[in-house]
Amino acid sequence: MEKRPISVPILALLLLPGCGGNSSDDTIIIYGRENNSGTYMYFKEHVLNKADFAPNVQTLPGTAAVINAVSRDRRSIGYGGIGYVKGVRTIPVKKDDASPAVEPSLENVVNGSYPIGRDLYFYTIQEPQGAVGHFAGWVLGEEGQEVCQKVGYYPLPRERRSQVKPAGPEKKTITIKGSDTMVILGQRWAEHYMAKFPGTVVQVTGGGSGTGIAALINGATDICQSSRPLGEKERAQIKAKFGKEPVEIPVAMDGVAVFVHESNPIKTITLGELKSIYTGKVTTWRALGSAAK
Amino acid sequence: MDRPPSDLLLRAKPRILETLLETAVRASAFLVILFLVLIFVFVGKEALPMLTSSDVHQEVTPWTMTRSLEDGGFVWQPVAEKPKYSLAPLVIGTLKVTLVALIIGIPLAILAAIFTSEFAPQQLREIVKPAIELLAGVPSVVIGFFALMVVATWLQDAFGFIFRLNAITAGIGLSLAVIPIVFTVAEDALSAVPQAFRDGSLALGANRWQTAWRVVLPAAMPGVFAACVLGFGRAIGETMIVLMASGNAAMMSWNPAESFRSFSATIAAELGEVVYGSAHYHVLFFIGAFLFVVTFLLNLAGHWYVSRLRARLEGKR
Repeated sequence: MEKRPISVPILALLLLPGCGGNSSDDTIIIYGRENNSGTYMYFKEHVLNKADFAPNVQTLPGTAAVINAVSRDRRSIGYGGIGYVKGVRTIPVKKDDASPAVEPSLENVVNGSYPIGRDLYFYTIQEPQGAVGHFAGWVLGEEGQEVCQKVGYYPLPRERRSQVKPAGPEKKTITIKGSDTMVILGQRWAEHYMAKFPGTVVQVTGGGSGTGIAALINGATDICQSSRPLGEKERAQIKAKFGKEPVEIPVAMDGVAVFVHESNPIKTITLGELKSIYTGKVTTWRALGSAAK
Repeated sequence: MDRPPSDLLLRAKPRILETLLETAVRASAFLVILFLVLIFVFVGKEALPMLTSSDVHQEVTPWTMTRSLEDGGFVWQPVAEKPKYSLAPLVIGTLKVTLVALIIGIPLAILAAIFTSEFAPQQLREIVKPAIELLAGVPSVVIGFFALMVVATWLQDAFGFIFRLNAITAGIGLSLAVIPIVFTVAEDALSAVPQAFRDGSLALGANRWQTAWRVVLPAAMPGVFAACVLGFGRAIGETMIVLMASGNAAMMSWNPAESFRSFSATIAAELGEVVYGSAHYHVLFFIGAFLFVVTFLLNLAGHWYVSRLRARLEGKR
């Protein structure tokens, strides 16, 4: 009885390296976003063509965490919003084998040549009126779009900006709730807007796109920020309660960047290769290289 | 004047104030219990459609969550064309990390408790006990960050783990949260063993180690066991450390060097952006209710055991 509690940890310690495998192993360590983030939904739809992620995809809270993990793990790969990338190598993405490799730069995302760019949205119940309309109009104007570029996102091309009439303020407080991806962007917009129009208070909180939509349905927020389009069920709920579809306003663009450890020699990656990595068809970097040839 | 002036002052106060204060104090105590009940009612209300709603049952029932899918696999993939809600990978993940945390935490905490109550001189004891208990005050996000950034790197360098974030990394972080709880309760239990036991043992020629290990520890065993139960409850419900250091991959693997996904981290990660009112939403609350009941029962059992032990040692039974 005396010896057991001490010998068990020692035994476990001796067994540990056995669980780990050897270091020449080139298994791909796959990182992704949580399964309800807008980014996850986007990646699933546009890269995996709605197939399921492999169970060994590690999901981390927030793009910053994914980047941090990738920067410390030489076998790893990850994806996330372009606004955050630092300390890892972003790889240009090819739509298919024949297409050119495209960097997720401003012009490539905005002109649509980068294959995995997306829109970020505002949702409201009514056509934006009064102060809300004024704020939305300002966000879509030159100043608002400049702010989103400073935060690391990309402005919408002019022809895609919806026409929101900047009507005069009638309400003193605007509440915005939703996507965690967009919370910094929203706060920056609010800061600049309030500096310019001191009469209005804009409150921005995160919690997730789903939380924002729930708040919109309950009337707890004026604007819902979302990094994904609304789901059918959510649209149906809004329709059932308010008798009409919600108003969807694209407000900015974001490129989903694919990144690897800085020492990783890979030059480009196709959407097909990304799909085989994230669905678990290809599990080692060596196999990925030979599959590409 | 033969009466101290403070006493006079007290007597001068109107009795109504006293009653008022007493009511306020009592009300706050009940308010806290009320909150607990409200939380349970809310979680239960959101979880209930799992049992009753036919809308939810088209997608998932508690029964399908425990069974394998058509292809025989167990997959947690709630956001998919065909959502898959197998609890098995989450059960394995939760148990895996809890076991690692307890294997590391319990021996450390109990040995530390034996040292503090049986061997440490009084002065040292006054330092060691609060210092270890201070660990309970470290926010779990800080421990999680430590596990994620520091422990993960050490372990990967030392053992060459393929998964940087795994059950050992998270388990070590989690053990830091478990240790102060197990330590405090175990130390109380050991200290409560009557001095006569020690005196008797020493008088019969046993040395201090033999006394501590073979007389005091067995006498305090129910309390030490209760400490472990409370530690288990803490480990199974802890969220932030696991969310940060586990990698959150819902793998069907008992290998502690591989990534995993726990119940608590699943709720924390998925509830933020879940489609409001969907089957997935209710599933998360269902898991939450389950976790609530499990930790509640564990805590209840632990505290009941501790108070019973205390009563017995104080000779009230």
